Amino acid sequence: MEVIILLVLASLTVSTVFLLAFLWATRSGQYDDVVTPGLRMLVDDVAQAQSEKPSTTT
Amino acid sequence: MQVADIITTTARTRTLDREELQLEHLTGEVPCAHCGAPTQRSEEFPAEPQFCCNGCKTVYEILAANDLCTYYAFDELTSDRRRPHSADYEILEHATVASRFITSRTATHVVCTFVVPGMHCASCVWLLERLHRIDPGIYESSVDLTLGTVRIAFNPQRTSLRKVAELLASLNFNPSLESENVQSRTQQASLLSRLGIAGFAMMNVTMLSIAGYLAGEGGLAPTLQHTFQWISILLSVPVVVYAASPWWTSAWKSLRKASFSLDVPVAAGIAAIFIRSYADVIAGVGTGFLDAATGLVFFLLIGRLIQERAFAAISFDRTVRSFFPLGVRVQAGQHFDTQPIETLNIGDVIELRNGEVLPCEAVLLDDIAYLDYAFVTGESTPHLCVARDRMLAGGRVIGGAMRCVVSGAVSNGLLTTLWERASVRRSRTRLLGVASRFGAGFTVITVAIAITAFFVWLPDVAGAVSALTAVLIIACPCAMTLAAPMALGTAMGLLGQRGIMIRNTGTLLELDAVTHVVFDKTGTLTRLHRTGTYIGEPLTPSQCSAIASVVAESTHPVSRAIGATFGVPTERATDMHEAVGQGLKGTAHGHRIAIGSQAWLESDASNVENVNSTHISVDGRIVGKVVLREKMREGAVELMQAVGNSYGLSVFSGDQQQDTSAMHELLASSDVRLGMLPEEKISAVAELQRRGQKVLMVGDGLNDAGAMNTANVAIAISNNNATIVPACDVIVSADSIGSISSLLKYAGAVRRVIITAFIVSLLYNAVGLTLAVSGSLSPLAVAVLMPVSSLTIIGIAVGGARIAVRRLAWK
Repeated sequence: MEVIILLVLASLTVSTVFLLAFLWATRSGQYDDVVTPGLRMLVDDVAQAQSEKPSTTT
Repeated sequence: MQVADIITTTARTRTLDREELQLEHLTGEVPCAHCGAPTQRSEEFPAEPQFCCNGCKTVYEILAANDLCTYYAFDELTSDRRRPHSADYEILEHATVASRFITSRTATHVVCTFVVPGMHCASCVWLLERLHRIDPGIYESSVDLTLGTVRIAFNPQRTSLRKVAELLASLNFNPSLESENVQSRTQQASLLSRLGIAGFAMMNVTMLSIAGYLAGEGGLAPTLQHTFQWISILLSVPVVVYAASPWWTSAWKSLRKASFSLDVPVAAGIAAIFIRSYADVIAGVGTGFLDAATGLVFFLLIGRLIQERAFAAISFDRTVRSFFPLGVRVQAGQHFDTQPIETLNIGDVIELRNGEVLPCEAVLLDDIAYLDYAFVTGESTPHLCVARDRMLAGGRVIGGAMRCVVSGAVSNGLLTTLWERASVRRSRTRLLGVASRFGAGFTVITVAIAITAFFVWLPDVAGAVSALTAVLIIACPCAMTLAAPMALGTAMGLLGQRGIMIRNTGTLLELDAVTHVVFDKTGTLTRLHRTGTYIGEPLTPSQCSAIASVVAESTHPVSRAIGATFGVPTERATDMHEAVGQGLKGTAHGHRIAIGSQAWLESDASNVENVNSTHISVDGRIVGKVVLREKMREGAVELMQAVGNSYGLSVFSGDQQQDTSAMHELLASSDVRLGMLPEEKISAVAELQRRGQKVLMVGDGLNDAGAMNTANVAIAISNNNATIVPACDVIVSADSIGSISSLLKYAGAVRRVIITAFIVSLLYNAVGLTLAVSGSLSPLAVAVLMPVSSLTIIGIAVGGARIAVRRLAWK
């Protein structure tokens, strides 16, 4: 039954890795702005595509 | 860029839709292609996009030249595009000023951050992140919509900070030069880190302790028990040291200042539970309460994070135009240079234009000048100053440019104090008073119970200590620290979504205490019609343009209506003089134009007509008048009926007579006062307060700033003209004025929600204390009781606020 201690330690190690990843993400500013990225993806860069098309009007 | 190209670009991205064609059919007007304001179709170029003013046309051309006209396809996403106005960014060439906006700098790569109050939607984000297409010196730009900032990286060798600011301004996203607005995100980041650590510890410790609870007869095997306990202790150390540190620092600060804050008993509770748990484990007496302890810190952090998020999102300063100048024009030899205000010396001659703020004490050089001290004292009657008068700092120049000599030192401290004094006066938070009195009482009672339990249990010392610590653990006032901020924070967020912006958390509770409501009439309850009718002599086109140009310098709704009647201004007027509430004078196109009430124009008080018919004089002679029709806003009548039922009602008006009979009947039984000057409004409000009424004042801040400052709570109606007075607690959009009655009811509902949460938390405390005093407070009981009580309180606070909104059938 003492093998469960090994299992607990193993799972703690894995979850600690994830905790460290979370802390890194927070420190590097990924959670600073959760509103704007959602809006940013709403609009496509259509204008760029249009400017690549040859102009048909003069 | 040829005009023909502009047409084809427009054709690709935007066609007039049915509504706009209907508008043209009805009124002969088309919407301006940039800002949407109704415009007369020009006779010279009827087939092209029409613009209401040169500014809109310029922005449109910039966008068209850079292939950014997709901006106009985002019609559904934008609500209003304000007309552009110019601003002076010369000050950014000075290194000291520039360094406030620059976050990093190398020879080829500079990063700066500007606060742009004008951005509000996805298309703004889109446009602001494509600046590099307009100015090749810019590498990239990135927007944070919640904070209202844009971070721009540019090459200092190809462009400059000033050019970047001017580019933003030319696109109608004027960057605010008020440096205090740039909030840092680091506070939230560290709070989030703490939350992550507390949550990690809580989950793992709970997992380990559940094993013990479900162990059945005899408990866990000793080795397992031992290992799990020590793993739990190890996991809880970062929680105590790092995650809970906001409470340690806050409690320490309060104790040092010998003042009481709710953080003191909370910190004591956290300390008690951890100390007791460590003691139990080390002494081998029990398993401790580490699962509840880490959970407690976790919930407290959630509460704090939600609080901070709510406040950041409704930061008031983002929408207020920058008030204090960073730079002033100082005389240097023959001409005037813009210099930072810190470099002003006594004896410098400075020149301030209409609308600019006096940054220091000064002596007037001109013959006369008008200064408006509304932001400082709340009075909006302009002060007349004559030559050699000593003028105090903080006044805003009204009228033409003014020259004066600096006679007092400039300190940013002074200016910030003036600004904050105007704002702090409004932030009397009732909440803090109630909470800290409650909290103080609660702590006293808890300590009393703990000591009583201790003595009751003696001579069993172990039991006595156990009971003492149990009482301290369970009686943590975390419910109180959670309930009110979460309820109010949720309420403010929900109100923000419905167009009502609340400045301070305590305002909702103050609204509930209101007994008497005062409305300003013109501009608040009524709306001036967009255009008026001109009655008088026929005018030449040059005279019309002159009138339009003079009127464009003023932000008063009457001025804007007159401007809409006379067309597009084509040049800037000079020699401006605006007398608040009375009239406007200026020179343009070679004509001297004066607009105002007949009494003011002729200095003849015997024949005063309705103020809403404004007279125009050209070159000293009255040529005619503009009649403006007033209409009650949607919802205003119902609002007054609803308010009149439960509160005392008054209407203060600066006008002489009313011309809407509907309102006259409605107000026949209430208190309507006409022809009030700003000072009279102030004294009327004070009189109501002397009679014991708690007054709510609803106005537009133009000539009732003083009355709003005096009232207990002030609601400002926003007319979208960007002049918001700091002396207000709530901002409501003019179109939804009817929601004020729902707001008042909601304030009452939120107060009841908070009281319910308090009562529930008291019940939990009662149950817990009974268990604690009787010595039967097991770790399982604590582990269950604490999270459950916290979650219930949060649920009541947040859920109650949301249910209340739905019950009021708010849109």
